[in-house]
Amino acid sequence: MVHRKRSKLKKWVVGAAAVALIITSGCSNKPDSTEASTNGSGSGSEEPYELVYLTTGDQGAKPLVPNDRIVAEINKRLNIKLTVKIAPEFSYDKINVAIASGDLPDVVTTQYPSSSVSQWIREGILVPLNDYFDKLPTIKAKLDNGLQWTAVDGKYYGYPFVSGAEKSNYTVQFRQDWLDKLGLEHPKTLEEFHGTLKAIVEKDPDGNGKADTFGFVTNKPVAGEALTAFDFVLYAYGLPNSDYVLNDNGEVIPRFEHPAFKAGIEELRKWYDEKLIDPEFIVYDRPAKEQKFFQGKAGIMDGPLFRHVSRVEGSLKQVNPDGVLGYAPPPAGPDGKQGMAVRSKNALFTAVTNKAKNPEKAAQFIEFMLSKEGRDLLQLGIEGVHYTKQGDTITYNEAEREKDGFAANGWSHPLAWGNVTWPIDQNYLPQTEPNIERALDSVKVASKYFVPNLITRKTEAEIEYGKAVNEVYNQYFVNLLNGKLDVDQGIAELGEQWRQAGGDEILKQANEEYKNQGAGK
Amino acid sequence: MAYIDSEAAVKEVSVLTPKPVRKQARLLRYIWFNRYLYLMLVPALLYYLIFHYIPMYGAVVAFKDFSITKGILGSEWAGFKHFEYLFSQDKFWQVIENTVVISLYRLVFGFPAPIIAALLLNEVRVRLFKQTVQTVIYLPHFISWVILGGILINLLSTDSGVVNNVIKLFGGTPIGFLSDESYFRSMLVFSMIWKEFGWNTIIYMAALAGISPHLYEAAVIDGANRFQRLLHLTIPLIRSTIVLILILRLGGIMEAGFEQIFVLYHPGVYRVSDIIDTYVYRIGLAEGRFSLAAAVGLFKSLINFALLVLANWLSRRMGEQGVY
Repeated sequence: MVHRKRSKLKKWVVGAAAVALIITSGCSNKPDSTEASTNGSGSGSEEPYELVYLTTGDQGAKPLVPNDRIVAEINKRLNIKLTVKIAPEFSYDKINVAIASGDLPDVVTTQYPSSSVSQWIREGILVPLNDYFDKLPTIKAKLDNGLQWTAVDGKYYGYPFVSGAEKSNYTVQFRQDWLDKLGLEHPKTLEEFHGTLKAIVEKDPDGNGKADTFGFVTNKPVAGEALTAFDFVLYAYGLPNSDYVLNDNGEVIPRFEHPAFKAGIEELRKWYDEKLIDPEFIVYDRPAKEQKFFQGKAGIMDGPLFRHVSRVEGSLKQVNPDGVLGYAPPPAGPDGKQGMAVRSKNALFTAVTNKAKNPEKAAQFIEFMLSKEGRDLLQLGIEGVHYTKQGDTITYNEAEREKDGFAANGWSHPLAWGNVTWPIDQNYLPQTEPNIERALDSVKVASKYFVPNLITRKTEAEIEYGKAVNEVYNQYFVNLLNGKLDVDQGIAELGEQWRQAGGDEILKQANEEYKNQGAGK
Repeated sequence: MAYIDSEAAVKEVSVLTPKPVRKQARLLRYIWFNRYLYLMLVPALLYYLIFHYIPMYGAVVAFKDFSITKGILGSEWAGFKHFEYLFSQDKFWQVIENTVVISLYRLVFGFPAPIIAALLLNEVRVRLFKQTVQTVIYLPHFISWVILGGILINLLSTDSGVVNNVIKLFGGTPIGFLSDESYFRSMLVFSMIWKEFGWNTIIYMAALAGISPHLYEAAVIDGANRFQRLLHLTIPLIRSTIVLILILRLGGIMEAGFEQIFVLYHPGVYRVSDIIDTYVYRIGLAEGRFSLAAAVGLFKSLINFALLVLANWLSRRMGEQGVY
């Protein structure tokens, strides 16, 4: 009997434990986000308006801190109570899920053009801003200045931030110290580029006595995007446009069916075969690629400069104090053609949702982030607290700035990154930036070699099938590069698969769009 | 022992007197008698009801044009539109093929591994050694794929990975286990087995521990050597466990391991490693085509269901117990 009782007790304990487990493990359905809210001391008699802002962040930004004084300042100026949720950079899926599950913020920033945004507009989730334009001078001015194409039936559903329309910072970066050691100039032609890669691989510039260095390293594309890291070779061979090309009959065809693509691929295969390219580039993300560069495992990489000049060189010097970062225009091909930077057709779209009880106030929040007043607050902070000003000279108080999540060396507050603008588009560099001249020069160098787009904007089909066809393209590109596929056969197969995955429809609409563009001129 | 008694009684009733009232009363009394056991079952039942059965109604979006504002029930019906689109895509069949191939590899190579490990460990005499080995081999089970993925990338990379360093030491050329299509699947299967086989060994160890030592003693007296004892005693005695686990594994054959592949794959190996789950993730969550993703998921569940029924039927034919 005693035994029986004890086992009964045990049963109860186990049962209770099981119940407790289930209760405590009930998981929350929120997207992974950093939240920070601060009470604003409402300046008016009105109750502060509670505003939730969901956005993707930026790898360069610091996380938001609780009781952030900048958020408090925004709250005070706009009479709102702001809650910011930041998903990681490029994690648009998290934003999609939040919206699809009905957990709507008042203001949202996401990828554009995208099937999600089209769907949200179609279903009336986003509120048109037209009615509030008199309160949104900065947004209105930007929209009227070349962004008219983003209107749907005459209505603007948000502010699309297209980066790099006039300026680019994307070009070739290399170890200047290695080139000096090898007695080489920076490569100006593809032939010299090949020679430089070979020298880096064979002549042991890091001096460790082993042939363990690759010439060129790059990284995998962001999910859904095409692999474009090797495009500068294609442009050198005369690929005229970055998106589509025309055939002899004046019809729009995929760019991989241009002869320059084949010529470029054959050159790249040679490099790959000679082990000049790090064969595992497709595994790396951008930080992993940069690490290979910093550690001296590769001599040349592609990537953004401008504000990154100091960061890349700084990290390089941490590993190797003698490391020097160099950059140069993309190499020229046999006919002297060259190109690297492209005008992105992607944007970040900041919009007001129908959940906003006061859409005007929500729209004014977007306006604020974009306005001079807002930029100053997010970049510099509060005068007297985060910086002091004497004439035109600004002195940062880094200790105070750090407390509110400002990034180091005079960079901005977390709210300033990756939503409505980027430093490069504003030509903004903090006054403490140690490499101001090189940063500006790198933009000058990179911006000279823009490759034009044939079609200026994404068509509906491209929004719908773009990711699917890019997947096909990437797969074939990798296998063409590493020699697994025969060049002619591979390109032919790519054409078939690409068209089946939605390319047919994309081409049809691209042809129409091209004709319309021509008619408009 | 009341448990067996009452069950026998219920059987008896059902055979002799088909009076529903009495049968019900008996059943209720039977349940009341075992009320604590049933009470303990309640949390599990609730869990399945709330997290597995109720969400199932969401599968109807596969036949609808899902609209966020109208919700699951309010969206327009679309018939088999999404399935027709899917079946017309080469990509879809490629994804199915990858799922089945990766799963089959895992079954063929991964299924015997824990059995062999358990049988070997069972023969070990020194307890400390046995326990040490057991702990070491099941340790990777507790590390999540996110972390293990990072470890694998470090172990297998071509320029500094240990494995490739050994290959280079013997004069071979480094192999791109992670970047080369032809090695990627093998790497997936091998790393999955490495992570999980130790853990799966536990079940077989338990089955082995249940074998009565008298049988071995008798066999020794009859002059059976170690290998004969293994072949004619141990294996037949854990056969039902093996078959049961095999059925469960067959039922899960469309699960090729989302977490692992999601952590390790990249655009260069989509052709050989994109499985149903990763595909659903990309079209559903990343591209927001929820109906299409639901259609793929539903198709997968159908195949899974058919496979489970088939495996169960096979097992019964082989004279073993099924799972239902």
